[in-house]
Amino acid sequence: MSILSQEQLYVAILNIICITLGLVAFFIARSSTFFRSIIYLAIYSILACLVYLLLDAPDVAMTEAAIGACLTTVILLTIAHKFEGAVMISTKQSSYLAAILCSALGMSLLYLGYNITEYGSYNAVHGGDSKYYLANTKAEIGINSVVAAILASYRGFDTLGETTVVMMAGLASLMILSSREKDAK
Amino acid sequence: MQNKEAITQLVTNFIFPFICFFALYIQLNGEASPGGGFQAGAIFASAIIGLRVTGIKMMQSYDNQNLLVKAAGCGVLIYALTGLLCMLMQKHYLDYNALYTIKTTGQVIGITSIELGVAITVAATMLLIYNKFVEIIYNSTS
Repeated sequence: MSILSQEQLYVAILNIICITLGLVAFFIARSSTFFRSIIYLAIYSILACLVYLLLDAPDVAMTEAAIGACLTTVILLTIAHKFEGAVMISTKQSSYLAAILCSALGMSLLYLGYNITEYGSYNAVHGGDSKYYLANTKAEIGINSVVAAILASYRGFDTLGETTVVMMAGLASLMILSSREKDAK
Repeated sequence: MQNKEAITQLVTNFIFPFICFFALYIQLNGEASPGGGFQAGAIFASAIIGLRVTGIKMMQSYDNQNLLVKAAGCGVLIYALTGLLCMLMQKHYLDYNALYTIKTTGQVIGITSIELGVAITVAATMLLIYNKFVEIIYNSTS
C-alpha cells in the first residue's frame, strides 16, 4: 500500500464517513423500535460532527456535538422512556412512494453537488468577501479568530437576528406545549 | 447502596463544576480559539441537564419557567443595548469603534459583551425546552 499524501488521506476518511452516514440514515428510516432509531440519530450526529471537523469548521462541530448528539438525544430518550416498547408499523403503500421521492431528492442533490465550486477556492458563492476579511481582521478588529470577527463584528446584526430566533424558538415551543395541557384538562 | 443510581449520581456530582468551568473557558476564549457564546451556552445548559437526568435534586431555581423566560429576554436585551450604546456615542448601530478611544480595544469590548448576551439566551432556551418536555412527559397520566 503506497503512502498517501495528507490531502488524499483527508479525502479518503471523508468519503468513508459519508458512506457510513448514508448507511446510518438507512437504518434510521428502517428501524423497528423507537429506541433504536434514537441511538442511530445520535450516531448520525457524532459522524456529522466529525465531518465538520475534517472540513475545518470546529465551531460548528462543537455546537453539533453539544446540541445534536447530547440535547436532542436526551430529550428523545425521556420521551422514549414513556413509550417503552412501542413498535412503529408502516403501511406498504406510502413506503414505496416515500422511497421514490427520497431517492429522487437524493439524486438531484448529488447532481447539484457536482456544480459547486471546489472546497477552499476564492471563487465561492459569497463573491470574494473572504479576501477582505482575512486581510483586514487583525488590523481593524485585533482578534485572532476570523470566524468570531465575522460573526460578532462584521456581521453583528445577523447574529442579533440569530439570537432573537433562538429565543423565539424556545418561546414558541413553550406556547405549543402549554396549549396541549389546557386541552387535556 | 441507597438507590440503584448512586454511582452515576456520584460521578455527575463530581464532574459538574468542571463542565461549568469549561463552559466559562470557551466563553472567554471565543476570540482566540473556536468557541464563543453559542457553544458556551449549550455546554452550560448540558451540565445542568446532566444533573437533572441522573435524578439529582440540586439547583431547583433553574426550573423556574418565569425566571428562564426573563433570562432569555435579558440575553437579547444585552446584545441590543450594546448596539444602542454605540449609537449614543454618535456612531452607527453596533459600531464597536465607539466604545473606547482605541478602536481595537473597543471592538474587543463590544464582542465580549454580545457573546455574554448570546450565551445567556442559548442556555436559558435549552433549559426551557428540556424542562417543558420533562414536565409534560412525567405529569401526564396516560
